[in-house]
Amino acid sequence: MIGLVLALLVAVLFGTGVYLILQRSPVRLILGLGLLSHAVNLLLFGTGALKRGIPPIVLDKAAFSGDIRPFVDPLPQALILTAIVISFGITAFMIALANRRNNLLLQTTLQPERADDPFALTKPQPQPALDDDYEWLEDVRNSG
Amino acid sequence: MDGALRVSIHYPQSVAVDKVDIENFMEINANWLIGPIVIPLIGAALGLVVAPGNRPLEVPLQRALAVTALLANLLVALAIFNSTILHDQRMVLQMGFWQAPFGITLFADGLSAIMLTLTALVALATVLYAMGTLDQREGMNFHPLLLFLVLGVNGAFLAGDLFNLYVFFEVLLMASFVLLTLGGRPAQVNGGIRYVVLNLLASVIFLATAGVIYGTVGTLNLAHLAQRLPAAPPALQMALAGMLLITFSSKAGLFPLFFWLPSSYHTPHPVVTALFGGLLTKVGIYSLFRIYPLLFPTFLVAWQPLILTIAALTMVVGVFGAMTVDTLRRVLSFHVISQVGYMVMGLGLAAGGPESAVGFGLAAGIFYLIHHMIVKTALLMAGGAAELFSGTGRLLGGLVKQQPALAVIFFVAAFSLAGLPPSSGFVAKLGLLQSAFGAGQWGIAGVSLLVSLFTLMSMVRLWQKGFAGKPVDLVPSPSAQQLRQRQWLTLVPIALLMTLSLGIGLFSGPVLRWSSVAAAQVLDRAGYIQAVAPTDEIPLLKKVTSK
Repeated sequence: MIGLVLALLVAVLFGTGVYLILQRSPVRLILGLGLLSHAVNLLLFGTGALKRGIPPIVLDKAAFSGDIRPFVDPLPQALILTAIVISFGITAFMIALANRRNNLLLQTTLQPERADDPFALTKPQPQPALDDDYEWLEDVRNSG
Repeated sequence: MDGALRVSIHYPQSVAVDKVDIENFMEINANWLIGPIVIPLIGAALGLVVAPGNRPLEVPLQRALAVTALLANLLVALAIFNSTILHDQRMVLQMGFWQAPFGITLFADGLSAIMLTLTALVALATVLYAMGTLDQREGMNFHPLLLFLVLGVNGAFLAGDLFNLYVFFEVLLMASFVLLTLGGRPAQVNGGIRYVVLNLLASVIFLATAGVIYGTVGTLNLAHLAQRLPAAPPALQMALAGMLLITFSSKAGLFPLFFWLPSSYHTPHPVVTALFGGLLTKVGIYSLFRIYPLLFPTFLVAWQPLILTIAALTMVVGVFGAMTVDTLRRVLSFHVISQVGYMVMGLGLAAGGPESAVGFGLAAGIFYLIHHMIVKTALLMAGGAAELFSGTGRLLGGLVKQQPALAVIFFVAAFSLAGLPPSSGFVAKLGLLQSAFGAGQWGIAGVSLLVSLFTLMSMVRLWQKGFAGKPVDLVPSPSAQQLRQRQWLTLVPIALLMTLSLGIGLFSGPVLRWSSVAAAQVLDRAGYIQAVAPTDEIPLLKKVTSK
């Protein structure tokens, strides 16, 4: 039963994530990617046994009966921890990238390469002066 | 030439190197496998520590650290090359002496060694090239990021289990995200968003596959998987093989999933493009070469038509895409896709056919990989140099008069890519063709010949529009003028790489022999399993439960 609930949850998260990724807004994009990584983390979680058990540590070898059934597999949780750290880093980078994009939009207009560029917000406009937070560097070329 | 190409495949007795051989000076302990991961890590971390403020003096310091780390990395890679290829062995490092399926396994065979060596060479050439071309804006922490990228790439080549492969993929992706947007120009932000999202989707699929594999087969260690997967239900095997194919073909830029590549590769600084073109897609190809023969040998045979179709479509789409775009680096980015198709063709030819063609197909694919990593980096560097010197990526013409040395180098590199003798491209394509004929795959042989012709056409078009003709007098920007003063610094690494390519073309015998040793090791599943030697049970539990 709990397995079914988890499977449905994973499915819903995957579906929502994919839906959000297909939207135009960068914020939704980031949220969608977050949901997708949560979905995968739950999927990994489901590969371990979904039960209350004891940690797989044998303190007293002599008294250990050899029955491994009460133990819980710790590996999925180690995998999830790694995956969480990675997705955290990538989400942070995505937010920084979206922020950078917003700053550029406030100052200038993103120059789309094609007319149907989904990430362009407005029509192509004349090239504005390059004015961004890198101006403190001496060597800023005007080649954009 | 014919004598060099007739290679006999012998299946080696695998030996895990676990002690220092006193008789052989160059042979190294398996502990050195950690070197290609730890050395770039130390270099990158030190580089970030010594340069907190991006002051002018700090970039040379970072560069010195990067060169030192990469040279050390190259030495270790060469030593691994010596142990694995020249002595026909496999090297296995069980971290912390944990037995195989329980601990982290690092594994190197001939293919890993070749890739490690090439990665170090390409990265070194890139650092040299960066010296001449990077300005301060893009130079900010470029060298530590390059080392992080090399760390991820090396780790992927050494990973002995699926999850670590995923982790190292993420490490190299993270470094590549930052490198791609280094400088923060509008076009880079635009291309960066696409690149990040599409690569992240592939990573999500990869991680989900790893989860499904662990949940169903119960292990992630590659050798252990190779033991257990054949007993799994065929439907499950098929699903896993398909999901991994989707993941790796997206990373490698294969036919239906290549679109992230041409929309982002032309946006960063040319140094970064050259590095990406040389290294990134090849990690995906390496993973295909590693995973498929090892885990899914039956699907490699059953799906041979599919793999060959993907290869053919990738070649065709790449080369036609190159005809539709008009800036130098975009054309070259599309050629990355088209060339990747040739390597997958090698994998497809490794599947079926007579026994002699099996090993030889993969060997030809590996040879192509070697050729491509060198030539593509050189060509992207040359294209980038042309772009930087003229201050625009558009094809204006007349560069042969303005930059004669660059034009000569570009010419040689372009013809090597197109596969004209005596370059390495000629031998690589000849090898693939011969193995396609040997396997009786006339269709793919025809497609690859046609695509070669179109590649040549595309290169001639670049030459005519970009290099020949009357020079256009642009007023060069100040930084372009500065670059022209440092142009020899820019041209030397390209020339070195092209010398290497010509050397491989002229002395192709040994390189082909090395590739066939690597191919034989990759195809020898039993040898891999024996080298890693995963145990199925914990000794303690085995003893107690048998009571």
